[in-house]
Amino acid sequence: MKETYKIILVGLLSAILVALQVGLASIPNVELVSFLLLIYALIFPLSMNILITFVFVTIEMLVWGMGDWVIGYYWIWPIWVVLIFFLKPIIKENHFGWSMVCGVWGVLCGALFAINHGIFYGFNFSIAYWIKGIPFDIIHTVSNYVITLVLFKPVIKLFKQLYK
Amino acid sequence: MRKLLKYTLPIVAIVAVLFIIQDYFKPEVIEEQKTVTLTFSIVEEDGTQQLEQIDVGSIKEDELLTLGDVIDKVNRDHEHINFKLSGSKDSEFGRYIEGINEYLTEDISTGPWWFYNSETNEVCIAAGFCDGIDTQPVYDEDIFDFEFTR
Repeated sequence: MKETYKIILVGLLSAILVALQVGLASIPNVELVSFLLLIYALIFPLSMNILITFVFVTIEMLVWGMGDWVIGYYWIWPIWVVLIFFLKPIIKENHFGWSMVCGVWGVLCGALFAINHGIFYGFNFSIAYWIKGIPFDIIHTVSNYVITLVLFKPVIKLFKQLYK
Repeated sequence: MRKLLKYTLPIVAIVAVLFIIQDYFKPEVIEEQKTVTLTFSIVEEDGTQQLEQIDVGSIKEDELLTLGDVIDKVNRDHEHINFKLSGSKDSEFGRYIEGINEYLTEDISTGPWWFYNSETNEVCIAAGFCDGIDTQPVYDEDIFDFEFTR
């Protein structure tokens, strides 16, 4: 892939993530970022995906301001991408499988964020933060599962057509 | 259909486990007669101005279970202090404080906001922060400090 083309794609795909994140911000923990990063990871190379997560987080910081969550975003989203790359050869394009993985990611994401906060504020804070966040994690898990189940097939088809 | 069930069951199991964990760790609400102290201060650039300190007491044992109950009682019994609250008490996250008397948060993104903390409430101490007013249990002789600050 040509470098210029790659740069344009990274910018465009990051912009889609930001636009959808901001658009859905009023609904707590219902997001399309996990799902879209999954689609991106199934189509584009790892290096490009990592770059997309960094650009996405940086723009998020510009939109929402700096906070301890930004540090978390910088390492948690790349973990999601790497996890997808690990599971890619096993799950392939089984939309049921990816729906389940996205659902599990909802819980894992909350736990990783608790760890991120624990680094700053201590172990007790981390545990309390995780327990208080369980209702959000449940929403995240269920919504990720449903979103992937419903959107996986049409969106992956669309991206493949566009990326021919 | 069988495939859908196969991949949905783990998600249902995870959600069930999360519900159980949340219920297990829910802070204990104690029914007893209580006196809870609230302090109010305004943090300005040139220092903190202490406004007031009030004691709120219960007659019945189940009258003051959460900080939200204490605030409701203040709104009923203390004419000179008026908490302006938003949201619903019955929702998952309860109500939040928009303002106290003339000190209102006009812009939620820039503040100033009302923060509260307690150095006596064991749940706040254990967590390192206090929960939302309707989920924060209160105990006898608790002191909650309310600060209007950025």
